[in-house]
Amino acid sequence: MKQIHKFFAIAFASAALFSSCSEDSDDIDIATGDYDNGYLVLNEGQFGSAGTAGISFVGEDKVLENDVYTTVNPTAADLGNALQNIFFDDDNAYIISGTANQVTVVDRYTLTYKATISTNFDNPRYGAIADGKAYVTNSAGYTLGAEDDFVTVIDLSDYSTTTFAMENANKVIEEDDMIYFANGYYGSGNEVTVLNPSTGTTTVIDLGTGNTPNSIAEEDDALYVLTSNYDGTSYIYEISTSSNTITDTIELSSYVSSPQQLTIENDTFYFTDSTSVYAMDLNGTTPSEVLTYTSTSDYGAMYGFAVEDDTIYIADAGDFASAGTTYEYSLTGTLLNTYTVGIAPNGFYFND
Amino acid sequence: MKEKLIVQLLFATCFPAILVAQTDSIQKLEEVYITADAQLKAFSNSQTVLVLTDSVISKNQPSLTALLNYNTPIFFKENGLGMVSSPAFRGTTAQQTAVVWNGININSQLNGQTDFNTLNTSDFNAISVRSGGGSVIYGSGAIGGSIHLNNVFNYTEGFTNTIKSSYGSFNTLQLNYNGNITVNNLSANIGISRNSSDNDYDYVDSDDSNQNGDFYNTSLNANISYRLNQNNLLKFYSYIYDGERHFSLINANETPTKYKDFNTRHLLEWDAFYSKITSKFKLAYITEEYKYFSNTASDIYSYGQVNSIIAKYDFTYNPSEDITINAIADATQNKGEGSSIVQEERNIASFNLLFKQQLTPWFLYELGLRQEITNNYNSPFLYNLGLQFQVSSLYSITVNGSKNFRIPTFNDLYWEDSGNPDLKPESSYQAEIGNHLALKHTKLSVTAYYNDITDMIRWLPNGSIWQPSNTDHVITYGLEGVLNYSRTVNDHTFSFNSTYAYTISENQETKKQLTYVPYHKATASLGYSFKNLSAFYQWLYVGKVFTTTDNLSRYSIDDYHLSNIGIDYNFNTTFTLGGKLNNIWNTNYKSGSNRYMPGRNFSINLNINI
Repeated sequence: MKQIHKFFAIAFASAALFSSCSEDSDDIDIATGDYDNGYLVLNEGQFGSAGTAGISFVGEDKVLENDVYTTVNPTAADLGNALQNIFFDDDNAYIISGTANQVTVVDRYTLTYKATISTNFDNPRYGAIADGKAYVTNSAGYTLGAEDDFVTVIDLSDYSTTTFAMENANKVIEEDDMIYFANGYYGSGNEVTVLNPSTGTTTVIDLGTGNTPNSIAEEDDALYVLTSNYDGTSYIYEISTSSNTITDTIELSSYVSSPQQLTIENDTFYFTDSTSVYAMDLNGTTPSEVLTYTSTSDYGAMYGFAVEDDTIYIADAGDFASAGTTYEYSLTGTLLNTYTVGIAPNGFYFND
Repeated sequence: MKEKLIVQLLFATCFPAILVAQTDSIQKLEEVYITADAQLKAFSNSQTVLVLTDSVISKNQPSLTALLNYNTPIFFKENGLGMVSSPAFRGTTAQQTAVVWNGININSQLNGQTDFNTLNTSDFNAISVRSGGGSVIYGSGAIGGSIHLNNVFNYTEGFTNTIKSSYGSFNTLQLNYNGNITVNNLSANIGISRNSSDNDYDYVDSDDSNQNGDFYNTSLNANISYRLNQNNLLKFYSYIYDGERHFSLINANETPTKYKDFNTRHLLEWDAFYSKITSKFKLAYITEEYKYFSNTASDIYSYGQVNSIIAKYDFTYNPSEDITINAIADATQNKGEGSSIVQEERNIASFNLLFKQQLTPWFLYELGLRQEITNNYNSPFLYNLGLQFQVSSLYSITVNGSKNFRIPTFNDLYWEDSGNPDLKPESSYQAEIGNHLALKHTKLSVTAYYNDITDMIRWLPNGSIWQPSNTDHVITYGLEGVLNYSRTVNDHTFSFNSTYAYTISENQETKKQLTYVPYHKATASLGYSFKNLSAFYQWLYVGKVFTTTDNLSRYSIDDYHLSNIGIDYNFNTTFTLGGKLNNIWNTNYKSGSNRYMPGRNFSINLNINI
């Protein structure tokens, strides 16, 4: 249902100032310690069974702690179910619940509850921030072709919200104060929309009929969009962020069948195909398999995926009704650690 | 027993000449006249049948959930008060409990289960719970057990009218009218029920409340029996249910949804009976329809509907007083369609043979066979064997073993892009042994059972869609106890009824308890009446349940116990005034994950008999 965006990992990794910030945030004293050196795992929870979604934390000491939000905030408002995505600014983490139609704001290092934003959402999906405003995509009625999808704009100074329509609004990232939307949803949509927040103008980039974007990443003033077409073809499109035009197309179809979850780390593309992870040099054209892992899950394999520094992170959702598993692998495919996290883990967020 | 009384009245008024008839024909007439579900009485000797009397039915809220929750070992998961309610009977799933209306299985053809909050108990005057396998007689889904909703004809000459009304917390209004007329060869009763509630209760120990939980429903039933002559009887049963529920929210900002049910059930039955032969021809027409509005602010909805025609021929032969042979042939056609199901038609023929013999005064055995024929899936041969040993006049032992099944539903088979046409039926082999003690004032039965269920159908996500497959293998076993005590001293009548269930329901792959199956459940009720006054106390205990398949304790739902009290006063034969206080200790409890239930609440009721 969700697929996490690596972008955040990259954004945080590159924002070196956070590591010093984290020391400052220690003034909120909690017994469970802080959550600034390590990563968060978002567990979307059991379908139709509320109260089973939550956040797990793995610290630098490689110790896992489950349900950290409720540990820190035992009496605060519920996070909701179908947790979809977390996006961040310097101080806060914003946690999106798909069914509760809300975004919960917490301190990104202590996870202390701050607010719940609950206006103008309808099945919210992903979010990104530029210039003091958050942009959250909504799939509304999940009805294909109903043209009810939209974007919620949150003014982060007062959490007031407004909306504007955008068909197939799904994954979204920020780069250089511009917002990039991947307009693709379950085989519908074949565009990338660029929004300039300061002027409100949008530019639509057509990826070609049937080329539905499933993930999006950026590196060095270029945007990379991974598409899958119902005719079986798949491509990575390179888009120049200065001209908003397609500058390169890499066909993957002859190497992999259904590539997903594009991320960029160490000048290398990483993406998944079924239970395998592939890598390809940023200037390359031929992906190579890094690892294949064994999943006992019929359908929840590779439910979350990230690459950060020298580690590959994989989440397996199992039967979606019991605790899922996450794995840490080296870049050469050696299994390093295994964790039993929450129910249906779908993403990794790095807090260094 | 009420039924005995009815039979006697029937004889006294209509057939004085037959009063001298032998007891076996009395037995037969009882079956013929009283109920459309003759097998419930005739072929359940080796299993436990819990009969819920009128007085028990009237003490409970009108939903079938409330009645069964407080008076049987069946566990219910409710998504908030009045919302979707799913039973777990002997550790099985909601689809493995059959609901049988006047002998016809009415589980949804779409999802295979009955929502126990879409049936009003006031529409039926005889409700029974039969524990254990019953697929040979009742078909798909009778694995954990079956619930029997019957309309029994009253053959007392005259015209009676009953109005029951109740008003209580959360603006909950319940109205029921029942009229009964019996003249000459005709007996007819009609009933109309209306229930509505704002259902906006405050959660206990919280500032939150139940939002978007309001509901209403209206039901109509009409039942007519007409005696053509000495040997022929026509009966017609009709039941229409129309309800709308807004589904309770878990988070205040969720998109509010609502659900509409419209169900009709009609049954025409022609009975002919002779000294050793009873012949019944039944024709039923059943419709079900739901509409789901994923946003109450919008008129857009998804829907599903199935219309079913059932023709059944039921032939019983009693070669002697001690032997009953019953053969049934059944042809069923289901036609369904919906937002995600293109029109599909399913035809199923089935043949049953049931045999029972009282071999000696202390030993009885019963045997049943069933084979269905359909193009849609391979239907297994089903059978059962039951034994009853009357060890003494006070104590008997029953043994029963059976093979049962649940067929794939329309959703399982035909859901657009997801349905799996290769599904097999779920199958269950089970065995049980029961001990039954009947003393002067006390009845006790304790049953141990074992149930091996394979090819259980489960929906799992497959990429962006969910698909059903025959994956799970579950073994359930446990103990069921039922205790009844009743005693009258002078004008004081005391009654005590209690049930207890110990249930293990284990997935054989993971060795974990199934979700929403408590290890322990117990009920108890104490009744007292003195002249015009009656009062009761009800108690319910539900043990801890798991909500995740790996039995994570941090997501389990804590055990709880609840108590209700009620009092009624008959001013005269016409008026009865009463009141009930539910959840008297204001217990904070959940019957589903984050599904908080109401705290202390009350109702007052006025009944009028004319």
